[in-house]
Amino acid sequence: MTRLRAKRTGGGVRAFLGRLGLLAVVPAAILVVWFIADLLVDSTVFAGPVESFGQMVGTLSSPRYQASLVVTLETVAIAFVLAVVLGGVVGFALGLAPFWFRAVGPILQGIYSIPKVTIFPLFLVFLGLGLVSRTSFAFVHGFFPMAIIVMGATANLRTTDIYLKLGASLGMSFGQLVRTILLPAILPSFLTAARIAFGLVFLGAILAEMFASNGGLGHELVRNMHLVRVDRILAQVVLIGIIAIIPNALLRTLEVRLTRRLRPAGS
Amino acid sequence: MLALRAWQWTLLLLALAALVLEILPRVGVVSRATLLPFSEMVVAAVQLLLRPDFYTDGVLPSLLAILIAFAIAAVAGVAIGYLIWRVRPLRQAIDPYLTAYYALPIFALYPALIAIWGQGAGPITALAALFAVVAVITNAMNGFDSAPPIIGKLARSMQVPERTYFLKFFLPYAMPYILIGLRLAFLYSLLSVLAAEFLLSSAGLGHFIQIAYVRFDMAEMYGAILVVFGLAILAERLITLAVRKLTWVGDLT
Repeated sequence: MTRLRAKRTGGGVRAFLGRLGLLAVVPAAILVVWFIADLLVDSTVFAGPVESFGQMVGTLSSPRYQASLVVTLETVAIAFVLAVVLGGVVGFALGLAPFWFRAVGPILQGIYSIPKVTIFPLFLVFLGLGLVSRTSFAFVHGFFPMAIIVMGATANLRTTDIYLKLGASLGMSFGQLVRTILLPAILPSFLTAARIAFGLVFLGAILAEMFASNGGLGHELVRNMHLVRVDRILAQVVLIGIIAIIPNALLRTLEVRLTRRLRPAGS
Repeated sequence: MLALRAWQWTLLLLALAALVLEILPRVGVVSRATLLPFSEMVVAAVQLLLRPDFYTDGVLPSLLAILIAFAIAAVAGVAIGYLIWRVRPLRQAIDPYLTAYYALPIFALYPALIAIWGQGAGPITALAALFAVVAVITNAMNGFDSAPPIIGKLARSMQVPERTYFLKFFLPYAMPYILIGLRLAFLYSLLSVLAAEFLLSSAGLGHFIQIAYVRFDMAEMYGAILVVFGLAILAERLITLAVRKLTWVGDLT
């Protein structure tokens, strides 16, 4: 649609380019600061953007690094899907039952506020060193915020019971109510929760790989830390940033679109 | 349900969890080498709390790093948030990145900070502040957004000086949101400091747990984990209470 309008008026193109330009400001600023910092620090350890991006090409073409990339993506994908599905279901169910919302909610909230890194040894002790323990650790990071946000959104629907009244006046069954009213109504919150969960799952995966692993991007980071290769580390940080931002941007776009569609004109 | 109130169920569920943790290793379903009975964890935690070196090498370095990082994030977060909120072009350029910030595993920078700076409290605190500050920025901006233009008009009609307007009208209006940001910032500093200590450091609670694990000293490890749980939940409760006390806009948390 944007493209159609752009073709007709031409102003759309300028607006689009303007938005793209605005988006480029932050990365450009980071590059400039990074470049100047490198000049100022003038240390043999620190690396500027030029050296780091030079490293990136070499790093990406090494089979070792590609294997690590696959390991991380696999961990994140499995943990993310599990966290979204299970967190979503648990959150929705608890949100529908006000009593259990009050009984279990504080426990979820408490577990969420505990820094999960402290129980990382338990994952190693019980699940060993490998995909299962890494994925579980990443999953735990995403599950709780997912469940808490979905639970809050669902409980909120119940308190503003206009939705339930609508369902009742239309003589809907519970199943119909859930499918046609409740689920669509919490969809924006669900997407927000998924976006937040993604960030935390990614963090959890990187942490697990940093602490104990024989592969993965986190492992590569620690290896290069011990080798004091700042250029490689920074190249990897940029790469991880790019990987992280893409799904985030997709979820965010979806979220904004849906919210706009559900709340037309005005609010 | 069972004629119990919700909070009674909360306690019951927690007690059940503790009971399961107590019984599993005692019956031998899980080896005592990997899981201690809950009562022994509590004893170990109390013993740790009576040891002076647990404070000097564990609790204090962590607490100091967490509080400094939190303070930096709080002050810088509100200031930067205000700046971005005030300057429109800045906001347009930065806004999309603010929402994407927590998708980035900022922790990936820790190895770089260590390689540049060397091991110590510096990189740990810097990382934690960097991790926490954006939560304050985004929430402060939400808060500034929430202040209706009418309070500006009111201040002008009362001829309030700019400074007083900011401190007595504008900032209090944004405060409930800022407090949400501060609560998150505290949790993030806690997470970040402990993770950094766990990975590579010579002091702090995270380091303490990691060493205990490497030595396979399960009593010390579970004891220290329990202490961290206690600290985290206590801090979270305190902040939530403070937020409720200082917030007049109803339940925002």
